[in-house]
Amino acid sequence: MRVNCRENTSPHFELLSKTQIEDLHIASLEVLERTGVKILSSNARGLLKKAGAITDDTSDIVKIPSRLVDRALSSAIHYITLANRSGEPFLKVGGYYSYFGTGSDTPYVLDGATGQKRKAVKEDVARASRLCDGLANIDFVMSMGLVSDVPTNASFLHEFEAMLLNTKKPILFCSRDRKDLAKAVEIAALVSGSLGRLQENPFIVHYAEPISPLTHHKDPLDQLEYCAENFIPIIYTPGLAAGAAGPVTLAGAVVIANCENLAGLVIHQLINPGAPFIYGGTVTRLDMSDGAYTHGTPEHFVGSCARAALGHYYHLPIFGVAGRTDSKSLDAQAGIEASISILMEALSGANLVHDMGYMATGQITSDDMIVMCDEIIALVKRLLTGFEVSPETLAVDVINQVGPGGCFLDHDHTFKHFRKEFLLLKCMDRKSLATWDREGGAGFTAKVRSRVEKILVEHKPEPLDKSLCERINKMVLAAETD
Amino acid sequence: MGKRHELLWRRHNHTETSGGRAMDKMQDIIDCIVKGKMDSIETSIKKALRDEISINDIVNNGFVKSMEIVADYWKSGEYFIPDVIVAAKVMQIGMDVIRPLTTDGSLKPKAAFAIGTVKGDLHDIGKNIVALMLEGAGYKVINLGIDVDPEKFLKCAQENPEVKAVGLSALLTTTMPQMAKTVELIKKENLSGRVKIFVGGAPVTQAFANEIGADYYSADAVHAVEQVNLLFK
Repeated sequence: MRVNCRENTSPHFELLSKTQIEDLHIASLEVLERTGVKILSSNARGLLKKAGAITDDTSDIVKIPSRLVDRALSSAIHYITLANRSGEPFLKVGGYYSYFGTGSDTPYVLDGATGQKRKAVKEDVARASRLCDGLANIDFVMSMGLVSDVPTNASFLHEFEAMLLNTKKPILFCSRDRKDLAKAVEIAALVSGSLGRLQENPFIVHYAEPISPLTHHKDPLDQLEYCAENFIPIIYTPGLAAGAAGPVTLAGAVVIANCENLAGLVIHQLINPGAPFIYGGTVTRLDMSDGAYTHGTPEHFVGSCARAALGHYYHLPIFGVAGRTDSKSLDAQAGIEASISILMEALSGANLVHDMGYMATGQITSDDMIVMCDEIIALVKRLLTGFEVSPETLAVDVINQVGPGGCFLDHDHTFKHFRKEFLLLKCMDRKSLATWDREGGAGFTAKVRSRVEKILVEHKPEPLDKSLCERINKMVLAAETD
Repeated sequence: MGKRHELLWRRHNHTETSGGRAMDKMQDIIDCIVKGKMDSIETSIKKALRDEISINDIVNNGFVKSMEIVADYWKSGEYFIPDVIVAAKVMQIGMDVIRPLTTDGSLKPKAAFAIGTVKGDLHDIGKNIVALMLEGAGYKVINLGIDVDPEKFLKCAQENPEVKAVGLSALLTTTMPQMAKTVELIKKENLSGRVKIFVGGAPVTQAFANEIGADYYSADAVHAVEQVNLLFK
């Protein structure tokens, strides 16, 4: 009998202690009460005023007492099951489950054939969605490209359609305003069968952003309101650069982002207590040489971990960010930044980690970068799985059978376990120099490219019913002239 | 057997045209070897024999074909060394089942292959993988072990007329010159007409093999088996 046994089934990581997290929380409450936030919607201001916040209609500043935050945190749900397009449970969004997906709306894509950047078109979203559908480690999609070949007023709906038709995985989407959002939800409800079924097994999550520092514009507030009313999961996620839209010190920048999130949560929960809300936020920093907003810095990575720590403290589902780079091509910098960020976000336990495949600080999406991230995620999953310690894996009997000077390679135990114990990747090169020479010396990026092509040729996502596709297309086209 | 193997297997079988009982029995044998089913190969062979499938048929259309499938999977990156070794082992069990049933010697090994790690080098594993795979492909293997001096290789080839090839392995760059010495000695004794020399091991290259006058260079075990197969076809 083994006694007092405790097992680590994965590596552990903790950026902040509980005391430090509480310091961040208390500082956020102080900012919300003392400084307040700008709320650019009279509707939302009215709601907050009625609930006991101090409002000022000339400055649009609302000071939110901590009791409103406490109330919102107590009514918010801790966990959301995201379904796939067919309504089957797919992702456990909450606790310490991490999933990975792409980012949204980059003006450019890196063209696979030419290796050059060009403006994103609708077909790019369709193609990248097919690619993601065929990648085992990509769990959800965002639009990737900001499509330029359709009328601007319906571009988000066109993106939504392109994703919907090309992947069964959950979709995180953006919209222009409340009306635009309502149309996307109407389309999703059609796919699910009804709004009720969509609410029961949601496969879509809306994405909205406050503007740092501490400003909430009308459109995202309207979207927050719509999602709360209709029980559609929403991610409310500020993106701020420390040193510009927040204090240069990371703790202060995290406080700003947290205040923006908590203010959104308060409004959301006032409208419909218990509606699904996902805590988000990107804390990054300004590049102090040319003023660029950056994505690949260590400050950003720890900032994200701090946000995840707060999300866990609040028991809210968490939106994370990783797998992106400031580099403009699939080079060593891209590999370094994507790898470290994916590892850090996975360790932090963020639930929906987006932006796989982002380049040039969110200006470019690259199919190749997405496939590279898929490999990195596989690698990180293996790292974080650790290893099992049991009589079977300690293999003392096997060691005794093989003995000194023997070879384990042909033992049945090797055959039985090697696939589980050893990560077998598609693009990383681990062969001998002789084999590499013989096979033509293809490097990592070349293998990534051919994997993209292979998946796009071979993988066929489950299609939507043809008549349903036609109805969806009619709705999208109708929105162009609305 | 993992789900992945099952999928691969189904995909492969999809292209097979299986007609009639005899074909199904052969398919069972191939299935056992490709999927590494050690416990079922004997039963499958006995069932095939009961259906009057000939031993030659079992060897040529069962065993040999299975190992070709396995080699294809390995080359496409879907199978790994342990998969190939297990398949070879299952085939060996199959050989042990049918060998006592033949009296005419038709199941004698195709040729013998002497293999060893050269003098000064104590590395065993790479060479043993090659030995296992060759046995799996139906060759008799004389494993001379490690730290084998040139004379021992020569003596083995002289004393065993069935030896048609000698394989030299080295893992250390410092022991590579011993390969050259061994090749030189075997060639000097005029055995090179009967005995072909294979070299391999991590630091060895085709260029080095050419330089020392070896007949074949193999980058890995499966490549070695392929070359040996071509040689003794």
